[in-house]
Amino acid sequence: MQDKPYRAFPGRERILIADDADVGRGILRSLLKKDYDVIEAKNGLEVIQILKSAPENIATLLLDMMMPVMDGFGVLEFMRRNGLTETIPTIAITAISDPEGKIACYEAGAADFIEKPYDPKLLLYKIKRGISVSRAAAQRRIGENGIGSFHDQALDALPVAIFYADAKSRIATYSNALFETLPFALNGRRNATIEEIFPAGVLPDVQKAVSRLVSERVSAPVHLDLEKSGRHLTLHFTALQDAAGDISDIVGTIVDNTRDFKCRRDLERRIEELSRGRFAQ
Amino acid sequence: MKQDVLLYLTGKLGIDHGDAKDLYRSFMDTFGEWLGTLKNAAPDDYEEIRRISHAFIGFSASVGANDLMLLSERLNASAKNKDSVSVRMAALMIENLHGQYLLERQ
Repeated sequence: MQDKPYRAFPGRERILIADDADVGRGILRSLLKKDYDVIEAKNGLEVIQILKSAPENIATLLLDMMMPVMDGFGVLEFMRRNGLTETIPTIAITAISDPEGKIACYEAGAADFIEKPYDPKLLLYKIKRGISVSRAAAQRRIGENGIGSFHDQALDALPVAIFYADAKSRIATYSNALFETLPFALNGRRNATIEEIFPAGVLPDVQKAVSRLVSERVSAPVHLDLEKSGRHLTLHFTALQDAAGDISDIVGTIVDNTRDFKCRRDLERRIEELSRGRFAQ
Repeated sequence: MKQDVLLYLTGKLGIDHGDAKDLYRSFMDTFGEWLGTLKNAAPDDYEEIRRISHAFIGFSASVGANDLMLLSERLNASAKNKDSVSVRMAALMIENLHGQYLLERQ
């Protein structure tokens, strides 16, 4: 089980801009500040300091390859050695577009590159694509680490909230939809338990469902009415078992019935099928 | 020239006018500093001249100063070819053009 969620807590994605020239950073800051949190570094060593302190907070690195102190190639070498090239997509910034230079960027580990002068649409597209790729990589890693590729890369695309918890109900990973469904969920806390993300009014029903799942291995849908928001939710818990038959993980799915999803019934049916399938294993 | 840059920053990149003016000032300051580095570089230190020209290209391209970018590319190519006459010519032309930018700034 992962100790940390697969991404930082919700909010704007954070982009790290590395360029020794004020004007270079200024242009990118102006282009990105509407959509992203922007932090800046003036050389490669500053980039490495930031990456060492909180790499999970960086969604994408925009890296000028020509910088003093330590250039972009030095940064990419550090990232490669520390396994960061897959998790933090790096877009190399180049001013001279010779093929050898581009190939060198790719070989060093850059996910992409962009040339000056910038095309803002292309830049934003490349950043979005980079973030999407790194998320997918994070999801794959979760799968490789034992939770399984149950929902894999489609996790965020589903109009249902999904979360994984360990056998002690501590939530480890979750889809973005959890925050739309339960806006107060997690509230910035890591290692929150399942019980902590639901409002007090529906808590007895949630606790009962968890209890039945753990003790009786019964996965029945729970219907919850959230008084404050007026939402009606359907909650399913599914237990994943280890080789000894003990519960290793709990998967929770929440369908918001107040939202008009055309595929909601199909999803509910599919979730029930999955639940039955898991117990049958 | 200045207007072209501001138009590029606001029109093509969609940067608001206040930020664009700040960026233009930053560009002029940065370019001026690097021009000083070019003047201090040894005439036959082609690696250093290429490094400087690369920086020129980056700044100019970023803000859409195409005239300075083209001259900087010429400087870069001249240094790559170790053509001292062309390097000197390109450096003088860049200095001259930068001077015109400075006049507009005032």
